[in-house]
Amino acid sequence: MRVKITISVLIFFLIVFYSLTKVNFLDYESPKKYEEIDSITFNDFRGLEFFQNSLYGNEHFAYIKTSIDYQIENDSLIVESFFHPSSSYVYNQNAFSKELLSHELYHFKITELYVRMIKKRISELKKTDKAEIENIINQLKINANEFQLKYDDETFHSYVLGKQKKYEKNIDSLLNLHSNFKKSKVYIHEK
Amino acid sequence: MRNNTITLFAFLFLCLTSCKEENKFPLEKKYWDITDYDNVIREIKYGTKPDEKLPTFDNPETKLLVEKLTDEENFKVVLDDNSLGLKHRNEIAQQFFEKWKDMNSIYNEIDRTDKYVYEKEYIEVFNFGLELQLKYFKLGNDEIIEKSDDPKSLSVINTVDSNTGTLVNNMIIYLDEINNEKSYTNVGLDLIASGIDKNFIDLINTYPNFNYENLLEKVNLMLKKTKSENIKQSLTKLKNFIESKKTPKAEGSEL
Repeated sequence: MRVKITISVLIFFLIVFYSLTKVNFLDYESPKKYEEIDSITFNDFRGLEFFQNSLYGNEHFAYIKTSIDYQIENDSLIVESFFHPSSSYVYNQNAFSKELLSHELYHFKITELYVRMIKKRISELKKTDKAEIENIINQLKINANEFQLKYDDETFHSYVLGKQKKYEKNIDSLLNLHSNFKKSKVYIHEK
Repeated sequence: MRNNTITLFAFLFLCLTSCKEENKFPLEKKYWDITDYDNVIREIKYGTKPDEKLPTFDNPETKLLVEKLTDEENFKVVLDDNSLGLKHRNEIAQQFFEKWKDMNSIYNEIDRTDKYVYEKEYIEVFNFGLELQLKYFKLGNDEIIEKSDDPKSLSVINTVDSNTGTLVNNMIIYLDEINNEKSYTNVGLDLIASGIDKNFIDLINTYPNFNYENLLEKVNLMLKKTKSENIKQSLTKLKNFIESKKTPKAEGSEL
């Protein structure tokens, strides 16, 4: 009986501990929409990091958690990008590093770019086909992830400033190119 | 019962603490910065026992480490980045230069027959330094010109010229290795030859108007001395290149 209790307590603490590494529910802040990007500061990075306290030996690092959420309706699709404060981490919430913050926010911009690309593709569909819509979303989510990795690799987490600036220009221009798809809702076969 | 609980906690503790294994060297890191060089040089210099072999290119286990150590991209990624400020890049160049001076003494061991024990590594570190110095002195000169009231003033021209002279003299030290030819195998001599081809041509292209008389004199002396055909070829090529850059003197001038 005591063994069972011990194991249960242990499992409970493990689950709590694991959950905390994913979402800091002790200092929770709800996900933010892309429209709020200009108001995001490092104070919004509330995630906890228990093990990886350095990135290639650099303790002054941050990472951002973003997501693409969607909802399929009869003749339309609602798709949005979100920033998750309680799953995003910075070594010091009071850090004053415009370059580091900018690098992280461009990850959010990449997510938004792919959300707009999803909306563009969906608007070109002739009919509502749930399987096809999900297929498009999943494929573009994979592409978005690949782009995020390439961005981090080539800018080396903003260390290579020239590349960082190039990416910023490129992403801004692509976002601008997809500015017709800012609204969260897109209608199928929309013209 | 108590033992089981202790074992369970111990297992859990091990699982949690062994999640991440830190490598002694940051081999997966794309670019090494000054801190990395500082740590790696210290580790190689003082972490290797006197009878242990240093990291080399021919050892599959340490090949990657020496490749990273001598990878010019580590400084080029900062020094060539025009988005960064000139002062900042100059400071980083100076820090790299200091690290390179530390690196220089890692692989200079000579055996009882006066041969270099780590000739390939020694020359690659040397080549790393030559390329670094080319950028370091260029950035220094550019900063002097940028900050001066009049970039064409005699004092600025003289300072830039003097700095370039120091750079040329530093590079001539590389040619001194030809005096140590007997300490190298043919592989080492070929590496020196390619170092001349690469770095000295870059030097002259960077400062085409500089007076290279000292260098030319050294090249002529080394041409007479070297037994290596490849070095001879490289020196001849260099000599011709320097001469091709000389401004032709005006004929019949009375001035």
